[in-house]
Amino acid sequence: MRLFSISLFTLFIVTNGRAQDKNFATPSAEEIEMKDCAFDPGASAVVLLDRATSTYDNGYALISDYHIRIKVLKQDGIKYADVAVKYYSHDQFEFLSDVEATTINIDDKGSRQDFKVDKKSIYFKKINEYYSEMTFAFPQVQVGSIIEYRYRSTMKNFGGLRDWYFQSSLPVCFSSYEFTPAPNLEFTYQVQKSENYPIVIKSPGRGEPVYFEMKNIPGLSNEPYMDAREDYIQKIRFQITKYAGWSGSQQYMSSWNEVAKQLRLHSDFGTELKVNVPADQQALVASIANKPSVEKMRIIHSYIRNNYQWDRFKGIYADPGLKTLYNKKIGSASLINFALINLLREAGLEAYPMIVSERGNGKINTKTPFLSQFNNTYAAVIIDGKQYYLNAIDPLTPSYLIPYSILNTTGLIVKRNEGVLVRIKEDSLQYEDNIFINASLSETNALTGKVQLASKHYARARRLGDYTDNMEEYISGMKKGTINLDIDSLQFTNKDVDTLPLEETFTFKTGAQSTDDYVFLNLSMFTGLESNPFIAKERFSNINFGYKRSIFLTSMIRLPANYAVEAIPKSIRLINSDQTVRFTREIFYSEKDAQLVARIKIYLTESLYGVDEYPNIKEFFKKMADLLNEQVVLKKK
Amino acid sequence: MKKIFIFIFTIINTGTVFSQFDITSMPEIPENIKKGADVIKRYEDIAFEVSDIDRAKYTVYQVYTVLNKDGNNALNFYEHTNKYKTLDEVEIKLYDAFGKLISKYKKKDIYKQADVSGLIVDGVHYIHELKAPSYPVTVEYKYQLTYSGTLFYPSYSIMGANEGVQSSAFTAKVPANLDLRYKEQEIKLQPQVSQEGSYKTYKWAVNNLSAIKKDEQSIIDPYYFPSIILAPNRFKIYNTEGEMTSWKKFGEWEQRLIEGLDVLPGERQAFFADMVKDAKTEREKVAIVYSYLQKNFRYVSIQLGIGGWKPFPAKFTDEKKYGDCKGLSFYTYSILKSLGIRSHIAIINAGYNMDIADPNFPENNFNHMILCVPQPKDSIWLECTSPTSDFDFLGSSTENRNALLITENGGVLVRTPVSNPSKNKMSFYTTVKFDESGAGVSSTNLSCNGHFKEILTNIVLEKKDKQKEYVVNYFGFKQPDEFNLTKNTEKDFLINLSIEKIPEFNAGSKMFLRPRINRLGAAILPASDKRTHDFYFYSTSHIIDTTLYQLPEGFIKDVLPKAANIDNEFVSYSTNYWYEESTHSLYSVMNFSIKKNKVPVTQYAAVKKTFDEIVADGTQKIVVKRN
Repeated sequence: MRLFSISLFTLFIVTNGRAQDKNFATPSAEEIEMKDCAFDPGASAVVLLDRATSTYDNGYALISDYHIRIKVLKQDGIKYADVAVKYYSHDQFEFLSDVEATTINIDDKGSRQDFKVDKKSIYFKKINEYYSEMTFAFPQVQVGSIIEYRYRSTMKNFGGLRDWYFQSSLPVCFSSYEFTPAPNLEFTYQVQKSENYPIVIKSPGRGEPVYFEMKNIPGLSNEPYMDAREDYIQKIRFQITKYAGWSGSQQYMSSWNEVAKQLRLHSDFGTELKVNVPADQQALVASIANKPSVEKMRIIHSYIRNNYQWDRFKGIYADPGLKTLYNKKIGSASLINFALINLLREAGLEAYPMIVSERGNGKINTKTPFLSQFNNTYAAVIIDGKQYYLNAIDPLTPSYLIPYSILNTTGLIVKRNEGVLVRIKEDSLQYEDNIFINASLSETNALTGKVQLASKHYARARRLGDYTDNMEEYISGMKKGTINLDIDSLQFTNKDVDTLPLEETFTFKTGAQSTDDYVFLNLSMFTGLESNPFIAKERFSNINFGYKRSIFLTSMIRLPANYAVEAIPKSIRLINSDQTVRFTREIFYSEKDAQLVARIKIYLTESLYGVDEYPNIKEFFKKMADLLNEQVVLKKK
Repeated sequence: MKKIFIFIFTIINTGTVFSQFDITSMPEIPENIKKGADVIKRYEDIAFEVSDIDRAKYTVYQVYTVLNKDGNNALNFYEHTNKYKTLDEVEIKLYDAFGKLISKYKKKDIYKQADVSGLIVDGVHYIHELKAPSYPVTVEYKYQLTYSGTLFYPSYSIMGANEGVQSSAFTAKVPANLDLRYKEQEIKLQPQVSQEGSYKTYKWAVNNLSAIKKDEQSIIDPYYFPSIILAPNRFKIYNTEGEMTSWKKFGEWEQRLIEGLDVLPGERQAFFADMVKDAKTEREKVAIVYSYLQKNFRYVSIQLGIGGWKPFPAKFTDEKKYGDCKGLSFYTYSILKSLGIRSHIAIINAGYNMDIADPNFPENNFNHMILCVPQPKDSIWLECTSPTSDFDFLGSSTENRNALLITENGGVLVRTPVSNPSKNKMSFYTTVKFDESGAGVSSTNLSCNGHFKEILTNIVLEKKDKQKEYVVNYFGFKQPDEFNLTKNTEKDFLINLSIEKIPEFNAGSKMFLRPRINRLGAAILPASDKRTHDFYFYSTSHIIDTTLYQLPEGFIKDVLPKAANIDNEFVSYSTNYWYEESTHSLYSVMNFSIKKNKVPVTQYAAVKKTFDEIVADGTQKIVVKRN
């Protein structure tokens, strides 16, 4: 985040002023000439113009006019000519109108042909209870076509105000947003941008709309172990701070304590926790009354996650309410977590709702008390001064472990009159695999053996999750680094006791690789680290592993009498400059026992690296992959 | 009197209300059914009642007991509906191991989401995924669908993977004048047939079936597990009527749908006539038209109502320059027709394991359309939705199977071409230079056709770092420090890399090199023991690789891998290695070809063994040593 600045502005405004976009389908000579995107070479298409203006009508509805112009630069950019615009149609909150779309083709001689999308080729469809979609396909699109469309969105009120994104997966040449709030509103906004790209902000004098503009923003793509796309995108975030309605004026959150207080009084949040728990849950609570608090928490967490079904929606609120959930046993992620909090409290534990912004949703700017930064509600439990964070729709993370989805994020615990920001980080518990291989090589080069694998904490949750999702993929994942490998008699112990390490045992059989009189033995099977996830030369985002990792591998391989050891990979220690990533390998050969013993230890002792660390991390992983691929060479006597 | 009246009433009632499974008593499951099962179908009673050519009801009552996590699929309710198939009612109940009700749901509780599989398509998914608090857990489904179109009859799906069946029955009731056809799939099971008034009833029932495992890379599920496939004799859909008693008749329906849609404006006809005027043969003309299509049209999925089977008029596609598989195939047909070239749209199943159209059992089980241009010898086949596909190349998703050609005389079922590995080929020629430290550069000339060409064409369009990821992850080159990929011609590419460490590893005075700088070649096939069904390769292919290692000064050959030579009906593999003293170079040559797309189950174990050998052969090392 070093390169990012976030600034905050509060605005008081305004009168109704509105600029009508008269420049539809008028690409400039430069746009017509463009063959590649100068600031993002190789892009498949480029957004030449992305403009919107928002204002209000007599009924204080939010009216936004959008205007987009895209140029197709390569064959695979033609897909952008298939357009789908989502809108929030629940209770007819939003509708789209005044749609216009045209393909502009200009041939080598400069003669221009326009092809309009006719009205009946524009489709509107309800996607689910909340959202609908407008779709259409531009006609006559080729490499070089300019496709342009505009439409109006009308929302019942300013509650639907959206953030403005200057950046997308495609490069954007020009992006602007002009916003005229209704007179009954006060709002603040937050600019998130890289210092590499200038922004124009024309801000208010009273009576003037606020205007934002950025130019020449390269496309944003995804990267391995990216912490959140949202954190890197150039955008403006809005929050309404004061709203004067029929029943007088209402002040919105201006501090985190204020946020917590308002949430606590909110009918879909704090007051939900006054609902009585159902009889069977009361019985459960009674049955565990004598157990220690941590055990109570574990039992309740397990009960809730096994008994409520997630309906695929997320949000911070508990609508349509716990009574409905108790009855239907299906609800949103946050609602199920409210049931969890309610039951924890019933059992006498100190539990609070904690609003969170999960990994993919982006970081919280702690200086701006914007509720829209959060995307879910978890449970925070305090037992003997220690805090636990629980998510009831996460099927496998044990209660004592912070869910991976919120590692290295910030949450807000909503207490009685206090909003407590917490930086969620796991310092002591990590991803820990302990692999023990006991094998022997036969005179005919068959390598057979037994593997014992103990996985702790995140390794446990990860492995069990992968195994449950797709058993075949899990097994083939283990086989990945070793060619011609058969795995048999896979057995798990402690699968259902989530406080213990997950133990896996299996037998394996593979043919040792050989050429002529040489036989090669791989001593780093089953680590899953044979290939480097970091291949790209450039990177713009932080590397967020979420958790720290330790992997210990011990291999013991007995050799047959007819082989002599020709060469053994060096015992070696590889560390980066700040020693946060370490790899050690020790290999011994005991002639007496005719046995090879290899010990590999890998420590990734930080869970988060800044982007400037990328070259080092990339190099480390590359070298480590090389080392893990080194083999013992045997030779026939 | 009263008693008798009630008695009669009850009988009438059982016609529509099923006798039900007694969940509260939760009877034991016999051990032989439990064996190898993750889920048990305890009880099933399904009624499919056709009341008219455009009206049917499908009523389901099912009870499943899920034994463990791997059986969780049975806890998911999933139904796709559209304008001719609606979901009327649903009731889902979940019970614990003792038959105690845990929760129940109705239609309004079920998540509903529009089909967004294409840009402009209709249809709604109903999805409900239950959670098991513990195992075993029992779920009960009651639901009803109403059909106002009868192009598809539902199948009687007797079991899925790892599913034991205790008791299951399926009744189909149809007006006798419509009747129905059925096909036994992977089971011998005769129905009880009866006739009452103007209705004919078929009833199939099974008891106590043990679970079956699914072989990897075998035919798609509905044709793998025991089922009874039903199909109409006559059907109606979106106000069109057709017959399905023969492929010919079924094709006549499609033919009627496209009638009159092929007209192109005079000036467009002239445009195409001019475009092909210099071509000498029909084949050349078709190739020119196909190339025009690929360069100027794009695939967009638009399927609304009858549009699921009826293409847009050629004129519409011509104006929009986009279409789905039907639109684009039919448009190409229309151009060729205007040029006096006979062609036929062909309805087909796309998917590597989808050779399912049965000459003796017409049914509408297709998902794709392509175009066939008959020639005196070897018809031309065109995949009209791909901008990168080779001319007259279908690829593994539509080769080796029956397709229904739509002709002026109705439908004709024909085989698409047998896969030819030389049409899906990739050759590498790599020169590697490296020094004593192991650091070096490699330069690869790559030429390809078929799917490989499509893949490369797409990779080249990506940005540089993405290209690099493909070259490392897909082709298995070592991670380079410097990287460059260029496209020389449509099918020729150049990859230049600089690599920190060319050898796999060094030991003492020796270096150990991979036999090839990339990792292409055979992959491990799934286990062969207990396989019961034919095996399908994802595609046939031919890979040729030459890697030339120029050794560092002072190094000579120590040991070279033994040459291999395998050749049988399904696969050929050969390697050769030699050292050329004058140029100080090591040559490694590999030739690998998967020749047939399908391996009969009886020959699978042998083919699997051959592949194991090939994979093992590829792990050998070239050993060089200091002189």
